[in-house]
Amino acid sequence: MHINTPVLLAIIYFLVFAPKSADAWWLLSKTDTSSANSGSSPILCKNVPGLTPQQKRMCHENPNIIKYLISGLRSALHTCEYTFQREAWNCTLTLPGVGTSPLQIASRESAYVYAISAAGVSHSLARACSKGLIDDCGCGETPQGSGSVAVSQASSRSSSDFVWAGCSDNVKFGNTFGRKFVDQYDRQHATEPRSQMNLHNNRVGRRLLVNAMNKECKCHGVSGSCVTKTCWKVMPKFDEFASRLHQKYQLAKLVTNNDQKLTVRSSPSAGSSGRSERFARNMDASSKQMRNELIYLDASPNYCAIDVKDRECGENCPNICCGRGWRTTREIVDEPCHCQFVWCCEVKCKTCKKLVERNYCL
Amino acid sequence: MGPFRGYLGVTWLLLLFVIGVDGQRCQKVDHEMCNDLPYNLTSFPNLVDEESWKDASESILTYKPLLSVVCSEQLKFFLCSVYFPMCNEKLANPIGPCRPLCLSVQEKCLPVLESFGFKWPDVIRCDKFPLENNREKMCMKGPNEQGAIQDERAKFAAKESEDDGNDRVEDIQREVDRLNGKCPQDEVFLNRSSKCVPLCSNPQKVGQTDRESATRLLLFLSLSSVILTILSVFIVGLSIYFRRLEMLHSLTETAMFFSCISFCATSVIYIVSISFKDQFQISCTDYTHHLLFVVGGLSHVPCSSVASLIYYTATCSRLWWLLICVSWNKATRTSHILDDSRTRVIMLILGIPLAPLMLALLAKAVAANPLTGLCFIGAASPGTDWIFNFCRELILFLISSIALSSACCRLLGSDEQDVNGFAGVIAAVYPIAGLFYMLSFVNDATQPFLSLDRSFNAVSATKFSFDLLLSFIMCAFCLIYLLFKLTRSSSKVSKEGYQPAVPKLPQPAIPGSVRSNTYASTFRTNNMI
Repeated sequence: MHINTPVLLAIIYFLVFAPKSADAWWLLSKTDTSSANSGSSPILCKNVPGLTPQQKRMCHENPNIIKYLISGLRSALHTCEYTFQREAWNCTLTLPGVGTSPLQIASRESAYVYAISAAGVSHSLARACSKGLIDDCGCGETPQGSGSVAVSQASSRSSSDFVWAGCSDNVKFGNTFGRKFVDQYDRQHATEPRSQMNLHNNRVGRRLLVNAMNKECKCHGVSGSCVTKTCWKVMPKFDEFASRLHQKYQLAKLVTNNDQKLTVRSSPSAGSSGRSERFARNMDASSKQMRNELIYLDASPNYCAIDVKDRECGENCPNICCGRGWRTTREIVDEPCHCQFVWCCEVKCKTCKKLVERNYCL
Repeated sequence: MGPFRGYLGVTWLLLLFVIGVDGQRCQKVDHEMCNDLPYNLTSFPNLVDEESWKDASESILTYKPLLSVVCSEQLKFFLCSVYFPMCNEKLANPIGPCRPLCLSVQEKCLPVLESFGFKWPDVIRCDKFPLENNREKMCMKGPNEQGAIQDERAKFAAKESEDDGNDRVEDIQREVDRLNGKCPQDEVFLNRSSKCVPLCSNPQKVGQTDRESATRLLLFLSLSSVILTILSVFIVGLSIYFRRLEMLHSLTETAMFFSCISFCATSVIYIVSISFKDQFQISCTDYTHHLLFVVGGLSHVPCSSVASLIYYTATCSRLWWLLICVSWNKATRTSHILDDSRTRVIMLILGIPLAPLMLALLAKAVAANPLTGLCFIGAASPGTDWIFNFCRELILFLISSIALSSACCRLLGSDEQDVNGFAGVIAAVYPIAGLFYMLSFVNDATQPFLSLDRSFNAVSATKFSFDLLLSFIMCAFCLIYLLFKLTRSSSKVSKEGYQPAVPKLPQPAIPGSVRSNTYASTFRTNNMI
């Protein structure tokens, strides 16, 4: 069936911008958690606009879990701002002008925000489980068989032998609950391209978190000896995870909508002859090769429309200031230097004058 | 559009609920085993990579059996300094034990551990602790073998006088790195002169705004000087054309005019250099496929040419100005001598600046200024700057001050026609301006840490734009003087060319006898009407 290109673009445009209140769950990261006790949690959930009835019910039934979910969202957004602080887009979720929010446009920035938010939720919930802060879950699963030793061979144990014990981070619970809450709206609209993109990117964030788990060990014994060595699985620090996801963001793939399926058109590597283009392979976004890759539907908007005036641009001023120039302010700061430790126990420092320069966009 | 507006409004409203809490880095030790420590603050992760107080507490409690044996009086302090190291807000890393303390404890307690079948724990092996306490790696020596803590703060006061030596050690280390060919980023090591030379892409701590402000100031002053000089030349040309008045009659007027011309030449060099700074590659030179910034010792013909021309013309202008200082009062003996040998004076003024110019070129005192992007003599190092710029100004300042003083003393007995008051005022401006220039050198020398020459401020602007500042002042005064003289000479011409009016002659008296005639009376009446 031959579809005219302008008609196809019009259909894609309508489908992308049709949902008006899509995925408002990220507004939860802005809510106050200090007063989130059992009495006020219904008020807290009702105050957030755009939540689906199922999300509101989950929020009402699990106030303690939602508290850590909100904490995870906030951590995700703060980490995003830190990761992108030296780029033109510094993880702003709102832009001047109606309809220009980064989340409204199916760009690679939106893909990153969804992936890191889903991972932030899972990360926070998993960490809270292993610390015993959530009643409904406990420690995560530990691997069986690998590295364990038989009791009969205790006398010939080497230093590399260990036992899987301790409290691993419960990523499974974090991913399960996070998926139920975060993917609620998009799963109801799974036939729409934007919802498919969001579901895919959320899965990428969670899968990347599972694949990034590390082993951590500790010795137990009298006087610091290593009689018993226990190991458990821990998630990476969230800022390290965000840096790894940033690389995925830079390698995100552009997809198109084909018969209600998102496909990536692979570029032919054997030149641009007409015959090889005809046999170009269209890869499905849900295939095995695209399982760990972020996807997006639209090109990124021009972030130079942001008001960058008085924004600190560090060393990347030509890129951040969008060619509008920048100014340098100088400040003489007294700071301790040539510190010496005097036994016992003082730290004596001299005071040096340091010229601090900061660049701000004009 | 309505739902979107409310959408964004709610978003901004919810932003108010964001709460940020900043935690302090140091926390109290507060452990039963380590209560009698001489410090009370610690931080995590500790020296065995434990993240929390609880983890550290669980680990240190496993040493209780060893502590009960009392194999060493230093063991408790050692364990506490490892699991709860000392924290200080001024330092980025916690302070743990020194290696001699660890070795002393190990020597005494390892036999006890081995008798129970244990090895020395790997997490507290002694080679991970600093050998001694110094500025780079701080550590605590701990109590002595009897468990007594000796205060060393008295020793520190005596040792404080040796800190200057330590500062010199750091400078020596940086010098050694430089001699080994290690340069910071954006710099290239030069084998010939054994120094690090910055690349042209290196901003050298100069902001873009400062660079533009400096360029703008130089262009304003130089263009103003050129315009004023053109007007002065126009007036002199007009006076020569009409041959009515000699504008350059006296030596003072000649010196004033030629000083203006010389400063105009300096301004033209500035304008051309600034305008074609990138085409001529004045401040950058190609050296082994690197575009290097021209520093002292690096020869570059456009750089040397610009610097030499600026220095020569600026020095000529100053010598002409010095001539004004000497000759504004004709009553002085020096003024008479100079007036008689005018040609010789001109030769001296054109020849004297060549001497310091040759010395500067031989000393390789030419370098580019990072702030302006132009080349100057004396920019190679502070030493050459003081010799070729400060000393030049100092010598001329002293001579002009002496000349002005002696000329002022002669004012009492001199004739009014011999004194050119306007020129005296112009002459007095130069030592005053020179004083400010020398003060900027002193200011720069007394406050080197401010790096005033890397930004646009009063001190650096005085230094790099002093030539053009003098140029602007001299050209303005010259134009005003010529206009003043032109106005006064026009007034004189008007007085000298006065034509007297025709004098009224008295009417002769009319005879009374003629009035009786009727016809004659009627005729006279009609004539009068």
